[in-house]
Amino acid sequence: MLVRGVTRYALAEGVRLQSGDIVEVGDKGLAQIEFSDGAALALGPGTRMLAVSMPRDKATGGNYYVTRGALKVARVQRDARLRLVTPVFTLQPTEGIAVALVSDGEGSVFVESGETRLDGPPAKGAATALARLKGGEFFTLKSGQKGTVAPRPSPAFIGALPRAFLDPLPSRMARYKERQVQPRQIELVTYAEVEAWLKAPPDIRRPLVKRFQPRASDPAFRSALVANLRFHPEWDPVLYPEKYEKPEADAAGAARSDPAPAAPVRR
Amino acid sequence: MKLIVKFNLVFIVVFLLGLAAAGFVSNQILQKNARDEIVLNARLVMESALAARAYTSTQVGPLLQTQMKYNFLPQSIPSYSAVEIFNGLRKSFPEYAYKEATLNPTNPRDRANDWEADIVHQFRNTLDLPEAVGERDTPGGKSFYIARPIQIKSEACLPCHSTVDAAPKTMVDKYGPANGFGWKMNEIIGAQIVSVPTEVPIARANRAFQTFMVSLTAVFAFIFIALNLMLWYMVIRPVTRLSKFANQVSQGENMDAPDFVVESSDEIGVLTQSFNRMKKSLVQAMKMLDA
Repeated sequence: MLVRGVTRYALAEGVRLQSGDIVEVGDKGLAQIEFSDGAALALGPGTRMLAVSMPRDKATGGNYYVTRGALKVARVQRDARLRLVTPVFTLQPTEGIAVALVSDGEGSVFVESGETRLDGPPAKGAATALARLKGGEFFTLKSGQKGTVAPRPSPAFIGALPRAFLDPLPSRMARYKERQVQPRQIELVTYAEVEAWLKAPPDIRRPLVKRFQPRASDPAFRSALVANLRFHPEWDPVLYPEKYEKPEADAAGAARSDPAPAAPVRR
Repeated sequence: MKLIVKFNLVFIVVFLLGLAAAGFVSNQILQKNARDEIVLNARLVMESALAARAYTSTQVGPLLQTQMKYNFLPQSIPSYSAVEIFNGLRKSFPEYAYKEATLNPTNPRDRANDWEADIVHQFRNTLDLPEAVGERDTPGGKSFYIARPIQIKSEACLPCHSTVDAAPKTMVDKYGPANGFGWKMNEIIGAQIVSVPTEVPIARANRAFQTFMVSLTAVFAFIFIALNLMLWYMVIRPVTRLSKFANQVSQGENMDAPDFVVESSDEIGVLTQSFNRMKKSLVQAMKMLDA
């Protein structure tokens, strides 16, 4: 599934991703993002990913937020600017091939070859370096524990990987270089379909308020927002703008003393 | 002694001599052919194993390289695939045994035992020796073997067998760092050995020999019966009748009887015609004497 803007689309092979696209892979599906320089990012079954920003040039890059799932990034050229942010860690492969599993506050990374930098999740303030993994090394981080590096991936990790991740990622890009494929539009997103993103860490979910604001006029979407407001309080000004309107007199006085715009204030 | 008895005695003697000569020669040839066939089959097994090794090394191995970073897959190892393919062949040829006997193997099942190590050292000491063929005594009887050297001719072998550091970690996890390393390019590290009990080619040759001898005896028996029947109907029977008739004529009996009839133009027919003419001449001479 692809969410672009406030609309849900059916993904098809060859679709070009844009910044802000949300990709959700079905329980039996696989998706692969290929970059112009040959690098590839594969998403395993059940993976949820937000393309925060896409590369503007031909080099591999961009910021991607993954709430859960399995990732394999391959053929990364040296000094690529690819950043894969998860709730557990931030993965920055500088070269080679890396595989990661993320689920419920637990994450593991195995570097097949090359080198990958691991930082702490951005939600915890300034990124702290967790590890710099080399080919063959395995990192695992469990909730509330310190991350550990091992010389081999654990059997549990290997067993949890999609079968296709144990092989090299094939490239399909050449078939779509000259062809534009448009995703098939389905309908407007429901709250349930973007719930995970609206409840994501603040850095991720706050920019989404503006994007999904038009959906707040939908009664079902709005009632779900209201019911879950404690998970995303930044929606409060959208849902209840009257609470943030200042009396006209105060506003005029404030305008005289302070020329900067003051309302509405978003948290 | 009757003619047919003489004929049969000669025939049986000739038959026995022929059977013995044919048996001796055919037995020698069949034994040699059986052994040659075993050698040929053994060479086929070896060539199949070499082909399987090359295919695994050049095509299967590279495909499984990524998986080998997660799990050790013996299917990517040339010697493993060769042995596995041979194990499939053994279902049809259970008497054959195949081993890639290696002095310093990764997999302990490939380690050369004493007599195999001798063969490997023979190849290592005589680099241009392409093949060794021989027999050896075993608790189960004599065993025939054919062996060829395993020489490292491809760089593709070295990542797994040069140093522990260069080897796939999953392989080291499985087999440990002690064995199967230090191999060098062009080094003879072992020998392919196909062995088969000697009694197998002998039994095979004996089966063929028995079939041949029984067939030959059956053919001789058929010829014996056919010749006896022909001799009886074509020679002995008409000659016996002619002899009885001649005997009566010689005693003055049946002088007016019609001619003895034999409807053939062979020697017996000519003899009968001569006898009939002689009888006519005798009757005329007798009539002239009576007149």
